[in-house]
Amino acid sequence: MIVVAPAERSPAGPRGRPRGRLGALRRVPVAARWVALLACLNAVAWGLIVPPFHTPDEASHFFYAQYIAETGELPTTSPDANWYSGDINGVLYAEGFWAVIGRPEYPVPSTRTDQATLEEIQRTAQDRTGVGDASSASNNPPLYYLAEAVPYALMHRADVTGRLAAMRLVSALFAGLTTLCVFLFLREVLPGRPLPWTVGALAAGLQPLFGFVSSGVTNDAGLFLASAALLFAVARVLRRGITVRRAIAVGLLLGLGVLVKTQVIAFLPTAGLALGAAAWRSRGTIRAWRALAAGLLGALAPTLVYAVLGRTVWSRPLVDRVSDVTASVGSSRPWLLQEQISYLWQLYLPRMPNLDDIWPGVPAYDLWLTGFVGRFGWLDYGLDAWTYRFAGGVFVVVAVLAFTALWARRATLRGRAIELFVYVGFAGGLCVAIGVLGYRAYLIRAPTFEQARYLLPLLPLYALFPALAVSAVPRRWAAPLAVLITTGVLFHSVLAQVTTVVRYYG
Amino acid sequence: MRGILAILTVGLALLVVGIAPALDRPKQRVIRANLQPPVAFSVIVPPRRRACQRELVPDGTGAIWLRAGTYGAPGPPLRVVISGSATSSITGRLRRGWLEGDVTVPIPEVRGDRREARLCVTNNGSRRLALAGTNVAAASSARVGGRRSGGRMSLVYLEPSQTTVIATAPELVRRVSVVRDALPGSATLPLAVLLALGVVGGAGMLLAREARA
Repeated sequence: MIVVAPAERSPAGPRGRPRGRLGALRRVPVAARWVALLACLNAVAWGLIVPPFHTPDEASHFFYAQYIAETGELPTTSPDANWYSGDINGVLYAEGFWAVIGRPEYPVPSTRTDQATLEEIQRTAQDRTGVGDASSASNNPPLYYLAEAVPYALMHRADVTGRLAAMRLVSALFAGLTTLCVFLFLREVLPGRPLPWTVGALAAGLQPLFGFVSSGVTNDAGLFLASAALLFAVARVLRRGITVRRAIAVGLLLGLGVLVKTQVIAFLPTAGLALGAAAWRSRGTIRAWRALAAGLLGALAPTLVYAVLGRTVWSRPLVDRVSDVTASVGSSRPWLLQEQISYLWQLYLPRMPNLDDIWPGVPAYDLWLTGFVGRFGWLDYGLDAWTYRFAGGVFVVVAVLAFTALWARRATLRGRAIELFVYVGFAGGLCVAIGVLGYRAYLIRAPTFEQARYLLPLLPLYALFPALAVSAVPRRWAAPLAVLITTGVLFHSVLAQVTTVVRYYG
Repeated sequence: MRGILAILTVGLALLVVGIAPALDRPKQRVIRANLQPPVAFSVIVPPRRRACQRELVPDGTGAIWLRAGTYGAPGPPLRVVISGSATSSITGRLRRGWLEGDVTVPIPEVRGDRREARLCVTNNGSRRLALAGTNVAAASSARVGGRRSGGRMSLVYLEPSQTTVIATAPELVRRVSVVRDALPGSATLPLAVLLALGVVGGAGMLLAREARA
């Protein structure tokens, strides 16, 4: 059964443990390394079958990395929406990209004539910089793209699809590292038997939407890694106590995460709360306050570097994504607090009779569950209808088992209330951030903002459910349940990949 | 250990049983669409007239999908002709009485891609026929009775009969490599399948190891 131990106040780890970088690697459990490898290979497999630029906004992200690698500059939006470069637009044209997205009945053109056209365009299209407009990605911070500029530079002589194939491997690597962080997070939060960690991490790492998104060039892959690493770092602080190194880790991950995708700002209050709570639990010693200050510095350092570079090299403000939604369409309705709250409520919970019907249908099912179980491509294809209902049932059973495990350990859990509050806060912060941006889009009648993939930064918390479920049953039933859950995860993953091949190739 | 292996075997069997229907489901598969979405009835064909446009008709086509409106009446006799300067014409027909909406016209199987083929849809009835497609610049639009119509018909080229994913596997391997246009070339789909199988096997072995611990 699960052992929910109270938080340790001193650094953990066996005496005489191996030191140095190799030592740190050796301290990572073998199972964690295997799970990470499997998640990475799974994302590589996804990357082989998803056609070029068919993960969300991949052309925009690819162009951003290409532009930064070619010019050293960051992209900017152009008034006439003159997106990307000649070589990327050539491939988009040859593969009928704009006609294929949104039309699941259209496979990507792949006749021998199409092949000749594509090869001819790739041979002749030379422009790699365009006017520097990366469309929706233009305002993103640069950290993920700087990482992608490395395989780009290594494959500089290759054509667009060759470079893209290499750059997709970076995202797959990030998927593996994300899953490693999920495993380590579970180990931190659920000390005891290792089987639940493996089951939870496999459920997260092989989740089809995660595999699909992580297979493409997208800063979401970096966001998932930053979020999972941040949750792991926060768990260490809460479980083992605050130290300078641990606080710096949390701060740095926050700061670097914001430079990957500004969405990480949603985690700022809760991460701050976690550090504050850990410092308070240390009875406010000088060491604790020093650690807290170090954490703050860790968070500020990357942001300051970016701010300086933004002013001197890139002429870019520190935060320029805030105006993203409002810039596109003129505001047609005023922002109302009451309506914002109603919007948030209806986005995640059943509508109360006294609320105006803002969302058609039931977003919890139509948007989040179906999206999470599988809406792929540019949200233009998914699995058979029965799959969503079946998956919904499985989620309910797993959640009941997970809550049973928590209930059985409620006495111990009371000692970890702050920890629980922090994890709920992480989820809540992200949900509110999504709802606030979604409401802004709703006010200006922009296309629906919300997508299930925006919840993927919470993957470590998702992994807690199957892990807890395996912990909930008696030991002799744990292995069969672990196999059952993992079989379901693998079935889901393979089915989604088969569906993807059929959708894009006929 | 034996118990865990038995459980894993059952899990693997469940996986195979679950995936098999998706691979073995017969369907008349799309070879290529002409990428003109049917967003409007943009080509109107008067009685005894035909609408013609230049098309790339792909190798292996055995039927053509189009969306046709008859203003509520039973569908008129319809003829689809694919012609080109260097090749013989291919003709498909629908008899009177079909229902308006999505229509599939069977044709003799096309051998080799036909670039710049002239594809004509003839309305052999006594009422107008509306064909769905996309409004485009006059120069590239379909000609109806010799005049530019302002729209292009939406056409989808289908295989002659229903096939399963398994039966189409060799063609899928080719298509995936064409679209990816990068390493490992024609080994792309086989490699993806191998990786997927490796992930399944690896996860099973890992679980067996962890369950023993």
